[in-house]
Amino acid sequence: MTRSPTRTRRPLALALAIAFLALVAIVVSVVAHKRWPQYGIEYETVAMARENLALAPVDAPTLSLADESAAIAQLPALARRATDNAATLREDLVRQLGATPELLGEGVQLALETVVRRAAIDPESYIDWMRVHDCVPTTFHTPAHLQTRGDGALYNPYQNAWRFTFKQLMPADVTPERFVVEMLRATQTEYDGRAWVREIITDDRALFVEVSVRDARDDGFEYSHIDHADTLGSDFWLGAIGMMSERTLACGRSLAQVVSDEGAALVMHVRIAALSPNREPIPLTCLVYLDPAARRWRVHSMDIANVKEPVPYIAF
Amino acid sequence: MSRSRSPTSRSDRLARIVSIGCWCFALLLLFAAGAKLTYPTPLANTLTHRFELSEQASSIVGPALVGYEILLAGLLLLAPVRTVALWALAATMAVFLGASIALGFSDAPAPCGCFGGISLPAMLGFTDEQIAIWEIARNALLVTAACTLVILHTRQPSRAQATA
Repeated sequence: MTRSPTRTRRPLALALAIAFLALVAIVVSVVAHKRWPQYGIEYETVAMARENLALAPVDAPTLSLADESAAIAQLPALARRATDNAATLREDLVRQLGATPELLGEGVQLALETVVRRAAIDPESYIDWMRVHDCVPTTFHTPAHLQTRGDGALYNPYQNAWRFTFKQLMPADVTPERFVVEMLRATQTEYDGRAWVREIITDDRALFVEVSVRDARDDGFEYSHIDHADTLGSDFWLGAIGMMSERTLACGRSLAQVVSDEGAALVMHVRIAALSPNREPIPLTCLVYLDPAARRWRVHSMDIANVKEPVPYIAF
Repeated sequence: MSRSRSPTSRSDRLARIVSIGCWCFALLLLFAAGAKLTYPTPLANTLTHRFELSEQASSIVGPALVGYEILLAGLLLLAPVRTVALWALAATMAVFLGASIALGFSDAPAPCGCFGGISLPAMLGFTDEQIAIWEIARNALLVTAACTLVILHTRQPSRAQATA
């Protein structure tokens, strides 16, 4: 007796159908795996961030922070060059507030020095430097963007940052000073050190300063100001997903207070292209402002753009 | 005078119901897989934040779930393997129900992200707590439907018996 050809073919067809289904399922799983969000950051955002970070000229000359004092010695010249190439918005107002190239250079230098000092292997030395400027407060302040009417805050950014970085609640006795030290240590040791600045790219396009005046109408800054100048572009410093923080070691009058007391404040966005230990670009933006009464520049905020993987809180 | 039902027509009707049920579940599974593939963030957040999987584990479990849903949808449509597929469906729905109960009765009830970013109750403005309860009810209904299909399918006389 011979088997009918239909009967022989049926199990084969079934096996082929199941194999085809399994293949489709595997292919879809692999595609889903490739597109799966990491740390809550969507695949498309990560891809965009990668594209934006690729704009950094990593082979251009850099200022190494391996030797801190040598790096600091080079900052005045770097700041001068950046100030010469600065874009000035609201020129009349800037002039009225007495901006001179020397004064602006001091502000750029402060921003750069803050970046360099923060990256010191011993974070305590950063605290010592801040102490010289009387910038080590005993209580945490609420960043302006989190303040609500009254005394409340939307949430406690320090508690959040601590829990995110160290996977535990922040102990009650943590001072702002200890908070910054621990965060700076984590910047070096956690998350592959990807937010730890080890080099600053000194190419003219990679260090860009915008000068403006902030008043009740804000500072008039637009993305196009970066794009119109010969720079790495707004996508590099402001693109994809970013992390922003206001100073933890608050001292003197805040930017909001200066604007409120004086009616206007001289501000600068200092945009820096830095490199991590693995030479991955770190697009940094420091917003510095001048407190005219103290005749001191202060760093208001520090942001990192195109964050494609988690980084510790930017404590400074 | 009462008319007795023909066993073949009853069997056909059962087969048709099971077949329609399988198609409905297959479409639902394909829709869920497609929605998760298009916008996986809600499920990824559920896996990492609520079920405390590591990022790496989440990036394996989530995509594997998408592939599994597609495979199961396909198997439900293949008549020769329908018994296995229906048991797998019932088990899967029971696991989903367990997961949604775990999410709904936690300290902070949260949606599961089973359909990626698509959530009808969220579109209607329900709170996370209400959505979690909705998901428990929905999954309970799906478990019931899947078990019913299993029962109906096993009650069908085999083809050989029907022919005899």
